[in-house]
Amino acid sequence: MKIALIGSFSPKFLHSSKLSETFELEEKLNVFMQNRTYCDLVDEISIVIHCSEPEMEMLYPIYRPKYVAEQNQTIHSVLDIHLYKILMFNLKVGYESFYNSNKKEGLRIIAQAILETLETLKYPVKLKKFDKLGFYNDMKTFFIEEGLITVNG
Amino acid sequence: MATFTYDGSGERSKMEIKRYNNSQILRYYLNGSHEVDVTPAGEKERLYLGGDAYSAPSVLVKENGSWNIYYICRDHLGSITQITNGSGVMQQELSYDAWGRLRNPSTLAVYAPDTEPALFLGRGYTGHEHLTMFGLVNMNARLYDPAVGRFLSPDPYVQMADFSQSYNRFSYALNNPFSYVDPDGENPLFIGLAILGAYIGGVASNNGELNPIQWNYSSVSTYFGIGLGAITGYFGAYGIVHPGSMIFAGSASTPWMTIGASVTSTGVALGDATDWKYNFNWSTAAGGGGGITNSDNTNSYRNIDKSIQNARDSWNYSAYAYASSSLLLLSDDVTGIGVANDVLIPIAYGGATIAFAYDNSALIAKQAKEIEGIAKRTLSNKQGFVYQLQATKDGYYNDVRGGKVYLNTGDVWKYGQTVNERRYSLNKLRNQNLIRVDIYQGNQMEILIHEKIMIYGYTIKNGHLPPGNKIFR
Repeated sequence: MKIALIGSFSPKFLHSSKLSETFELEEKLNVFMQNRTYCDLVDEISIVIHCSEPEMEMLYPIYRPKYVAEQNQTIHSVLDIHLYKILMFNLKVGYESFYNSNKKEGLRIIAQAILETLETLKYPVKLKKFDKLGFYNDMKTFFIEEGLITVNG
Repeated sequence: MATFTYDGSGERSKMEIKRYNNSQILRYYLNGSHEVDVTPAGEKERLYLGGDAYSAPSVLVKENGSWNIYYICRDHLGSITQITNGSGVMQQELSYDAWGRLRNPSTLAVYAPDTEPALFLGRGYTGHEHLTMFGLVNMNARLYDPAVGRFLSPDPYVQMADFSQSYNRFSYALNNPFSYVDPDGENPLFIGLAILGAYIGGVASNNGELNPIQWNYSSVSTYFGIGLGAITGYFGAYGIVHPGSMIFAGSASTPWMTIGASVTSTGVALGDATDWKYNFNWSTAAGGGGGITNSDNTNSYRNIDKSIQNARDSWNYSAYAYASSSLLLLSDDVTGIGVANDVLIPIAYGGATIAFAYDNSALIAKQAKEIEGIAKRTLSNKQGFVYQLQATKDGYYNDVRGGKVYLNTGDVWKYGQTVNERRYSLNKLRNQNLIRVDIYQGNQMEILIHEKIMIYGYTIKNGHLPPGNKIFR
């Protein structure tokens, strides 16, 4: 299965390395997840990570998770989008701690936020057969292997 | 028809120009400083003294069997501007436009084809021979057409492999001839005030440092100060030359200076209707400088100022810096003086600045007008953001104008603004190897202006719109 970790940060982060660090984590995560599946209906999980100053949070709302079985669309006139068996959800990380963190601390904050979100995530009804616990455990294992969290969280 | 003959070492030894098969000029080049003309009117010899034909301050001319001395005045490029006889009486005065076209020195109007005067020495722009009957300048290795600023044949060498202008092998002097400081070829006041403005801007953005050698050329503020000063000076000159077309107001105060310029135009130069107004203004109190602030903090222009300031902070001016430094290199080639002690540095920077402003004057004016239009609109205080969609991988991306364009990771594909976070747009963009990076937050007016500045800035820098932007919004 493929995982997309998409950083969506406020302009305060424009000159920070958080976006590229998120990309790095995504690459490693995809290597780890390469041969794993949790449901025939899901080929990709897209996780958007928002972070902004508190006064700008309204620009980055949290939506209910959404599942798209298949969708074709053209956006911005020339971008032909093809979404296929994809689960999408977004989450937020705290501004002060994330903005002021170093690379390791920042990734740890992301790891913890993802696991906390997965613990309570309400999956779309179409994904009743999705192996939620298996996915959660694998994500946790990955973060432990990366040294971002401990066995006890 | 012109025929050129070269000796064994590749030096031109003879030129003959015929019209209807009758010889008009037969010129022999005996060495770098001795020439003989044979024309239907008779023979004429020239022996340059104190240098060669490109640098000599005087010349002995043999006419009607007797030798007479003439003195040659040249400008910084080596172009012949005046020739006087031994008594100091003017023999001929010459003038050129930015690209070397001969023009009437009294009116500064370029001569119409076939009306150019015969040159007393046969030479003019940068000391080269003018072939007036063809409207060309013989630059030895190649023939140059000053009407279009292009050579007739390509340069066999790429002089600066890392400079894109080098790859236009027909262009003259990397498209930045030193005398390009006069963009119109109409009035030197434009240049003078533009350079003065550039100098003042440089001083202001360097904490009052009067010596340009000491300016911090690695600072964006320096370029910004120079650029804004040049633009202000240029517009001011336009207002002076065309009374009533512009109202120009300026002020200066200590400790270094606060420069304010309010330009109101009825718009011949800016191609705009009446009621166009835009403020260029920046202040430098002791210890700081180069920023833009509006002197009037009570009107809606505060929003513009804020957006411009933010755009200035986030915009990469390296292209502009490069244009300036390239001109420095060129001027150094021309003057032969080392850059470090080249007294022409401020002039070179002024020249680069005004060239930059002139090259992009239409865009700058259009941008200013559109910003003015936004400022007049009634917009809500709803918050939004300006974003750039940038490539997450090296590769080819669709261009909204057709075809594909190669982008490196991090290159911008499109600028946009929105007041609504689109629920799934991030996932869709990722599907196309693009990511949305939010670059500015503000109210509707602020984000509209900021988006405009970013799109125009990209276009000025790259010569085309971002691949994902169809128009300037």
